[in-house]
Amino acid sequence: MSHSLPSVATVSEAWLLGLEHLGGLPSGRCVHLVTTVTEPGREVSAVRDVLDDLAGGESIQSMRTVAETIFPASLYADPGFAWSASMPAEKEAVLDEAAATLYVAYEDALPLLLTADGNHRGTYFARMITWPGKEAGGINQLAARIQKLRTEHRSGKATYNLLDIDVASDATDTDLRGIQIYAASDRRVRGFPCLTHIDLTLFQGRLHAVAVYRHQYFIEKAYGNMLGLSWLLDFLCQQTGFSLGELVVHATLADDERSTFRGGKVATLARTARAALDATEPPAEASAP
Amino acid sequence: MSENPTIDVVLSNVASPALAPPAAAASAVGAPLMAASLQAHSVAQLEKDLASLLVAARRYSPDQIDALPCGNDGTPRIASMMAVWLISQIGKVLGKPKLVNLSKVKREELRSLGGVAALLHRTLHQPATTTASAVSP
Repeated sequence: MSHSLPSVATVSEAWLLGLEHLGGLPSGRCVHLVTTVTEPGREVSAVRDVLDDLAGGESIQSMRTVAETIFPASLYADPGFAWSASMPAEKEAVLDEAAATLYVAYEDALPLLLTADGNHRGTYFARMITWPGKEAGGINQLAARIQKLRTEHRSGKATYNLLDIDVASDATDTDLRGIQIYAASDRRVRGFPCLTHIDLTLFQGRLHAVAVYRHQYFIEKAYGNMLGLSWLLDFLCQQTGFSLGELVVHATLADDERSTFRGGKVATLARTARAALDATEPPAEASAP
Repeated sequence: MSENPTIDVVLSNVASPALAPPAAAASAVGAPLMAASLQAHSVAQLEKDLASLLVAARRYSPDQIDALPCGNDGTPRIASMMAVWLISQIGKVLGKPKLVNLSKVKREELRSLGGVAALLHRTLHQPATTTASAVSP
């Protein structure tokens, strides 16, 4: 059965709701866990700190490192303004240059990145900007979607359904869909890629995203994944002038990793994160889905 | 990044202020760094080389680098993605895009400028046969 959690404002709350929900299940796992972040990019840093403290002790990746597998914010020199249909060409060029420099910088690093454990089949961001993702010169799905969305913006469209999720489709399909991550040639039973597709929908002037995961690891990956997806969506909004919409993450299998983090670590983490969240701000109102 | 007033992205690990788009890495790297000088540099000098790379690529100003929080080794903390990019730029100078094998690198070495400098120094001074087998062309 699917588990659709209440919409919440921040990545931190969405992650914690997911972890607490899994903690209440006998196996710590469920199918079709759906979390909704209404204000992607917002987080409660104290919650991330709890996870990063655990990461340091367990020798796993920091949340920022995980997030940057989806959007390498370290390599993006944010110009500090968003695109608009009426902006002067030279200003648009600054935005374009910032994006282009990001892509080049990442492609520079790609040969190195592919030497890391788990990266031998490519990286998420590489699949987005140079599909199929193992070397420079491939299809840049992000650039193509930015250009398409700018065209829509110039023509006054505020609603554009960029669906359909077509997992088996090739990213060379010229009829633009979402951002394809999973290739028809991927034959892995486990491991990369867990993120299979990012669907984009423009509705009433806001750009929304749905990310589909085959297996969402809620300790090692989920928080960082949500953060990275938020940064990606924010980048797309900045580059296209649309307002930020919601981020929905659909984990076809969600896992609290209790078999890996034994001895009550998962429950302790959830309690510590909850205390950090509650201490930081008034409890967020969780809206009905 | 967007004009949405609710957005408040907290990038709390490392300060990453908005800068003008950086110059192309090739031109930024080629001028100040030469392969021979890299080989001769100490760890401390390599750390300065890396800081220069960041400044030349306009990712940080010198003041911003000085203001970065320090890692456990007392040198400026950087994101691991930034560390990988820095190594890639050194690799460009040396003609070795896969200068290190990240699967054999400790995570701590990618968390600070000093960590990356020490990694590079060790890599550049490995015996030739070891280097050839460890680094893919």
